Amino acid sequence: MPRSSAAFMGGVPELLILKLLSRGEMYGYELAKAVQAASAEALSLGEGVLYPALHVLEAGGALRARRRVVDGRTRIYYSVTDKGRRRLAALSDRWRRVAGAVEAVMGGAHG
Amino acid sequence: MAEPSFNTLRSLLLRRGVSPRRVRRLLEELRAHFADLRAEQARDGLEGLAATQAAVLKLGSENCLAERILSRPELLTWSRRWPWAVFGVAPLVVCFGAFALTIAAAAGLAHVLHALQHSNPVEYLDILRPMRWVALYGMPAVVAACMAVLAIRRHASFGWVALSVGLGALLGSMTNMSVSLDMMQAGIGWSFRPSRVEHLLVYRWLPTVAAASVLAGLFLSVRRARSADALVD
Repeated sequence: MPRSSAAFMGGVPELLILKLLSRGEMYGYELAKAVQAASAEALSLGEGVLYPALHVLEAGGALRARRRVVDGRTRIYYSVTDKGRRRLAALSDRWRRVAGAVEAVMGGAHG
Repeated sequence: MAEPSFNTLRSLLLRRGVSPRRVRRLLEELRAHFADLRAEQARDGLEGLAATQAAVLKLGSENCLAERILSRPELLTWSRRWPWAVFGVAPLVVCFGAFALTIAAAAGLAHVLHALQHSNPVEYLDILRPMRWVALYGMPAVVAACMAVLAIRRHASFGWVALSVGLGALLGSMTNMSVSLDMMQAGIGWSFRPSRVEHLLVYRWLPTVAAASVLAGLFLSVRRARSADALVD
């Protein structure tokens, strides 16, 4: 369990990306801003984390990418596939368990 | 601080095993991201060079970006993750496959000609001979050339280039196919029987390696010339 939890923490960017993209397609910069906005500026995905994660998810079939020209600029928009939705459900479930476990430990430590 | 060219990042990613196509996509996205960061700084009141400098700082150094991208092995090419499979096993499988396909094509052709009641063995031989030549001499050289081009484009070490070309050429050299016409029956045979070593080296292996090197060199030259033309245009 400790090892899988540690591995899971490395999957947090994927969880955030899948969750936000499940609401609608976005391009990289838009997604980085959405993470900041949704977390009230508490979380920020750097470019060095964001783009590799997007490409890995796309290569694994969890995301689909397409080019779109918006206001004269070509952007690469990402959207979640069915496989991505299943992965999001699994990651969300694991996240709730880890968060619950951390909360239990913190509650126990303070209580 | 000038606008990043991403040349360092491009070079690092290519040398360390990210495919050219993926590198192009990543750079396209990072350039767009940089433009958005700069526009954001401009909206926040910074002007010209100051906005560019702030955007460069936010984006981070190219070395740092490369390190983060390269930390994801899923983004590396097969030839970087499993070079022994790509440069060691693949040429052998492709060469065997080409020989097997030639035999299957020859058998299929005989069947069709027979069904059409057009089974003249002499005409059949006229078709089989070039097929044999392509499978035995052309295919190993083409396979070896393809492996060499792949190895060079993927920045693989010289050892992998030599192994892939050498193996493809060796398998091609050691394979024999015969086309025969006996008692008005035409046939094609496949054997894996090496002839004398010096004969094999001089008449089969070396010409195959030479042909593969020439083909690979030609392909890379044409590709380079096209890239240069694209830059000029």
